[in-house]
Amino acid sequence: MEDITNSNHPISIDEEEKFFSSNVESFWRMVWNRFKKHKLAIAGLIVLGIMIVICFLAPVIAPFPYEELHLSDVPDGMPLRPGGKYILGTDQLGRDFFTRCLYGGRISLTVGIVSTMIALAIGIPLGCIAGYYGGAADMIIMRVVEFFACVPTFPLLLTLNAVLDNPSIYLVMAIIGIFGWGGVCRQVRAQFLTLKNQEFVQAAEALGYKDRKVIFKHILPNALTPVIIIATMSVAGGILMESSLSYLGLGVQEPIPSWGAMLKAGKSFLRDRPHLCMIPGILILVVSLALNFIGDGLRDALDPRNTRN
Amino acid sequence: MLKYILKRILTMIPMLIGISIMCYFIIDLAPGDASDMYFNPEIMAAHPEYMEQVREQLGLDKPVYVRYVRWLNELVHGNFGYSYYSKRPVWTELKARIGITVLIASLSIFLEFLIGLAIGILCAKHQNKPPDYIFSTLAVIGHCVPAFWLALVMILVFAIKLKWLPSTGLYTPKLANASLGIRFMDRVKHLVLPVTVTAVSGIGSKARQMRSSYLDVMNQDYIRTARAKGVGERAITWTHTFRNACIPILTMMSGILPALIGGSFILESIFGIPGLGFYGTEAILKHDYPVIMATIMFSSLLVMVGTLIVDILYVLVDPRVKL
Amino acid sequence: MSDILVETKELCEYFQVKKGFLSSEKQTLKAVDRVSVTISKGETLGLVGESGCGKTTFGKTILYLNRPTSGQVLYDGTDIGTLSKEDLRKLRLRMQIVYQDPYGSLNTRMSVGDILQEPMVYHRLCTKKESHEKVRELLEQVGLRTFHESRYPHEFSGGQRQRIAIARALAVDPEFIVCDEPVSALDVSVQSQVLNLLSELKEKRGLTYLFISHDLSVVRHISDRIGVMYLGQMVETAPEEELFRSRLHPYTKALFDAMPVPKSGVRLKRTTLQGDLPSPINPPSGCHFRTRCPYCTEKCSQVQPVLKDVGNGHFVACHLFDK
Repeated sequence: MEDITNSNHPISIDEEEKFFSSNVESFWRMVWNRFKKHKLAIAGLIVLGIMIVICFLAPVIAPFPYEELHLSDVPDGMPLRPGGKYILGTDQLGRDFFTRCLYGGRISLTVGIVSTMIALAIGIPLGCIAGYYGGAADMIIMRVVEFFACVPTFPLLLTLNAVLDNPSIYLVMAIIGIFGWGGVCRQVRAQFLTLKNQEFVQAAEALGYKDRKVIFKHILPNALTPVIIIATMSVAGGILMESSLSYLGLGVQEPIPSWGAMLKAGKSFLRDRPHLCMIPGILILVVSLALNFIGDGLRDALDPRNTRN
Repeated sequence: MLKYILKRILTMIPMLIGISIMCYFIIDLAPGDASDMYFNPEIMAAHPEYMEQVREQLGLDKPVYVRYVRWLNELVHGNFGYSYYSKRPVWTELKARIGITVLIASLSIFLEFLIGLAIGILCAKHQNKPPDYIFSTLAVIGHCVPAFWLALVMILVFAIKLKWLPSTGLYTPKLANASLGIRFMDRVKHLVLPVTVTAVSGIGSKARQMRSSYLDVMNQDYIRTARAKGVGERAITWTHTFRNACIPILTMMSGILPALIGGSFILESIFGIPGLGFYGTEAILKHDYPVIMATIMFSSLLVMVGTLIVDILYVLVDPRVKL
Repeated sequence: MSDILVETKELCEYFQVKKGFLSSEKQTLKAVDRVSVTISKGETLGLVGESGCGKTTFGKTILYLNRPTSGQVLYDGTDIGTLSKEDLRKLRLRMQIVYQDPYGSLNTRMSVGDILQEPMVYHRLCTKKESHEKVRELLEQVGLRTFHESRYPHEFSGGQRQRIAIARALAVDPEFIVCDEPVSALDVSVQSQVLNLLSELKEKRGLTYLFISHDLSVVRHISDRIGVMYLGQMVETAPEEELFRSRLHPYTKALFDAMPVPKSGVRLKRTTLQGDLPSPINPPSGCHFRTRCPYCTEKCSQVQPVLKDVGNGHFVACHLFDK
């Protein structure tokens, strides 16, 4: 078969240069390009962005302070309808509902984000150790993860909250994070187990790199892709947990507003002022949806074997 | 297989003990102690020496680990203690309430699988066509909706506005003397909303997962080969694609039970269902510690048993999995 | 002053595997079974054999990427097993590896420039500034363009990625490179380019290669000496021309006879082997090849043959050649 060419440069330089796109396509740029194709994900990103900005600008935007009572405006304890002085009406103590929604959003989003960060801070390092070193460390860490998985989180969370009267919001965030690191750890460990045997990792070892460098610079960036998705979903989960807690009267205490607590207060006026219940619920739903869509978009963008459009 | 089950049951015991230790110590952090529940605070303040005596008698002055061991001892003998609130044995009250929680959970799981998987397959088969868009969106919304809010919305719509279904409770008292048929329907009507709300989130997540894994399997070469060999569409859908698509779903199963049990704590109080969750929530709000301990222990036990059943099912369904 | 760069003595790499999923009984998989071989400076030793005969494992073990179960690997006279972790890391700079899979062996997150300058800068072979120049040199040496420096692996074809892998191996200026089936995953037309590149580099830099492949025609072009492996054992080694002139071991004969000859109208007399490759977990007693060997005798099932010198640098492990 005389097809063997000796040339090391089979095609001309110009052709080859044209073959490459003018944009250097790093991994993240490629991911972003794929992400952009998901209209829902982009919508979710925009919505979430708007909500975050608005809620965290609450002190600036809100027309009233959130705890300010206007009892004179609600003489018979019946909250006001939306319109007029109060954009979304008031609650039964005359506090502006719109303001409370904003501040409530701040609380919920903060709890969701911080608790996720705590879960990541615990779960990722432990997952790395368990996945890379295996052996005894792996066994111990996995037993702990299983233990936390067996515990019904919500009841224990309730108990903790009930036991510590008026827990600060930081404690609430810490607790949700502490119960949530198991999933992250398991996922990181699973990724490490797969990646450990891939050739580019072995190549790094063959090049004489120390363990720490291999773990952090080579394996971890590749292992984090599913973790990003879990993190997104976990923020939604954290928000949900916080609202559930405040719905039951635990968690964040009055007068600090929380969407869950507002829902609970609104329950008494379900018949006549349904918006007091509807709006916080819809807000939680919208944030949750936005995060889920973003997570979906990320999942497809990060999946190298993406076959479905 | 039997050996595996036994091994798992043996591991459950230290886990439960671990959970009980954690729980007991957490509760111990609360201010005050059991005597607060039995006595009027004024009396307590007026007679400190008497209180000392009472405390000694109840063993409340001993350090926490001693009290824990005593509690454990009682537990092993079947004594869950007495509710601070109602003064009755916890076990009797618990026994009456577990059934309904398990019933709702089982019905909910059943619905989740039946409807969730069906919707998922439907969406996968009509990918990118209108049914897919509609149902996928519904599935996502179902998955993201905060359950307690949905409960309120449904009560508003179905119980208050439309008056089709009752809003709370398990049965209507005034029908107590009606015929069996009417009473049965009454019970069913009372269960519709709680079960639906409990199942919605699960339906959503299963539908999405099923859609995605069905699509994955559908595009595999071995399905194409089966079709080329002339296997009928029905067999392709069920025997081949569905079975293989189920496998990732089962991995989700282990997360269902903690979610359901946790969910029951909120949903039961909204719907006024006298189950395990409601009992626990009330106890937590009233600081009824023996009940709290018992409820949490039981919830953990239910979760562990459920996980064991799921793991066994997993082995039976997926031939690649080894125990 | 010895001419030998790498030497293995009775190198064994055994893996423990479970028998089945119900039993916890462990069995030993003898991937590399008492292989003793030498590679001289500047030589290319080609290693051939069927899939699963242990050649890849051997390649990795010789670099201590897997720790051998027993036996020694001597690099330039030093037993690698006696080195501390630090010293071993330093030694790695002198011996490198190029993998088979051009898609899995490069980190997709790093640009080509990063991949190449990382080892140089990490081991302080040059400063960060100098490394840019060196990266460009390397790219040119392997036949790539300098503008490729900022691109990412997924933008290249298989052949180009293999060039990058070779460049990476060269980045630390090694003496010895294990080439583990470097061209097996490439198209035939590209294979020759990469092979020529490897030869050129060897000339220019005075390298020593262990070239692993299952394809005899590939090995022929590049090797000085060839070793044949079967089920973890080295059954024959000889200089390339010698081996192509006369094959002694029955397995080698069959292997060579199996090479397709692209000439029409020629009917070759081929020795075809009966049966399948036995499992390396339970290899046949005595000579592992005896179950497929047309010349098998009584002695073959009892005594394991060892490599014996039959002149002209030719070694065979077969009882037919016992004198």
